[in-house]
Amino acid sequence: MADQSRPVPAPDEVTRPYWEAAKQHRLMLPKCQQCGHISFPPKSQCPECGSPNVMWMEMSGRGTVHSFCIMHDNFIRGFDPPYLIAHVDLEEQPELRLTSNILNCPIREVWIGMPVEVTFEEISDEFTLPQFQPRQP
Amino acid sequence: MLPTKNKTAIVGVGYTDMVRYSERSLADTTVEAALNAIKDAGLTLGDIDGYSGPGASNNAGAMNIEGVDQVSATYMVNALGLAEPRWVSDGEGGVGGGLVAAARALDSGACNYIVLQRAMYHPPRVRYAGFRNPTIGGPPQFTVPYGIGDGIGGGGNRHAMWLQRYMYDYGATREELYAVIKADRRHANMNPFAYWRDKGVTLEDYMSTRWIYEPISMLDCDIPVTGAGAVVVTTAERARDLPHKPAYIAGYSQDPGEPSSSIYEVSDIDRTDVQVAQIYDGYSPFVYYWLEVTQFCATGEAHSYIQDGRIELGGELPVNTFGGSLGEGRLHGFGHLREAAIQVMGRGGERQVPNVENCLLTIGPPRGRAGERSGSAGGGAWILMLSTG
Repeated sequence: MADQSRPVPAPDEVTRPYWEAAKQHRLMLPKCQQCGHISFPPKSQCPECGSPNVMWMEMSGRGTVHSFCIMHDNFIRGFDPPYLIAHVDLEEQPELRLTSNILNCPIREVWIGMPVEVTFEEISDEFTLPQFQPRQP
Repeated sequence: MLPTKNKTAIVGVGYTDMVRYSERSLADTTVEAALNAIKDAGLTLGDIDGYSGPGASNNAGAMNIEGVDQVSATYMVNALGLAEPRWVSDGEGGVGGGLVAAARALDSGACNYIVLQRAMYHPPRVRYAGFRNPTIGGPPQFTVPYGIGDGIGGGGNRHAMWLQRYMYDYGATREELYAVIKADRRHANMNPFAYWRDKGVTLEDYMSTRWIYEPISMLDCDIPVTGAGAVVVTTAERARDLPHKPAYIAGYSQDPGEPSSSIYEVSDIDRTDVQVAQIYDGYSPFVYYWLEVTQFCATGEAHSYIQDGRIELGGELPVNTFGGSLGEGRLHGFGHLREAAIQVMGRGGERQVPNVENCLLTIGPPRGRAGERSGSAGGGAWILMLSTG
């Protein structure tokens, strides 16, 4: 399990399903039944067309590294520099962009365009984070 | 064109030194800057009937104690002893938004003379950034658990990722980014308030300095300081009776998020009639973003545009003639506002750009992706045009 002193999410009623799914090792997001737009961070009303008719759907988990940086200072408790932070674009929609640390990969081997797939990291008894790791294309 | 173009103006400026580990209360510092500005404008405290203040400290580790590490507008109205304030605002929208709101208050006749301020605090003992809460709610619940400081201090990760992608997309190099620091430090040498005055940075220094959010290094981040600035803003009619040439507010526009001529349309001033620009540089890559959004160069070309001294005094478009946040210290854009006014007023001394008619001013970090707005005090970033009228 990751360093137990790391910050954990404080879910609200809109975001709770995301974290419940993650605990079950599933990556799920709300998809608008009207226009098909997937929202992240999750919203109860579609930010594109305004429809309240959104439904939580499981994502394929496949994505691509859009960008990354390497953190050298310990601004956030529980993290041990140097560590990597990446933006990952999910394949389902352009700019559907999640944050990840890219696990199971040395930080110097991450590159823009790298194909990744979702994995999950327990950070406390209550919370599991969706993460990403290298994927064979 | 903005119907109220040139109907309001900055008529006085006041400042304090930028210091670290300050033992002096922020209230003291802020009052000093305000009184300096009022005196500079040729006014007295009794003339001031409007105030726009700096808002809460937003760095993680802030104690948020009034008068000590933050000063609300209400606090400052009392600390200054303003007799009958008719308009008081807590500076929503950051420095740029604060100036826009002040201009609009004057346009509506709400009050006559407004003091607008920004004050920042660097404490003697508390670590500036450093998030220690066990839980995080709101949108940062999707980023902070990954070690990203978004919006809560130490938040350069997003901008570092932007720079990383920019370099990949456009073939830009780190060496090229040095041109921003070089210009800022050179200009800071001519600014008596600048923290980094007379402390040059060579390309070698830059390329070997330590990383913070790689590819953003320590020299790409502005240094937290305690300091305060103030300007006095009034209507064009009242400005005519005051000692200095006014710096008129010709127009303003929120960050369009992509290249746009909006500021030029709103102020009815051509980009080619802008002689100088103050570009927010809290992190050095912001300069790329703003130069491209304000169309001084095409998307992806700013890294080339800034080479060969083009953005230095004597170059085609002098930028941050006071040293910028990177040369002066972190004042959330107030230094940029002050310098824009100084340049238009013709008071820049050895760093005065010749024949200034218009100064462009961008205040705030770039807009976030997919329409998310960024800004240290709510709202989005602002673009403003100050003019000799």
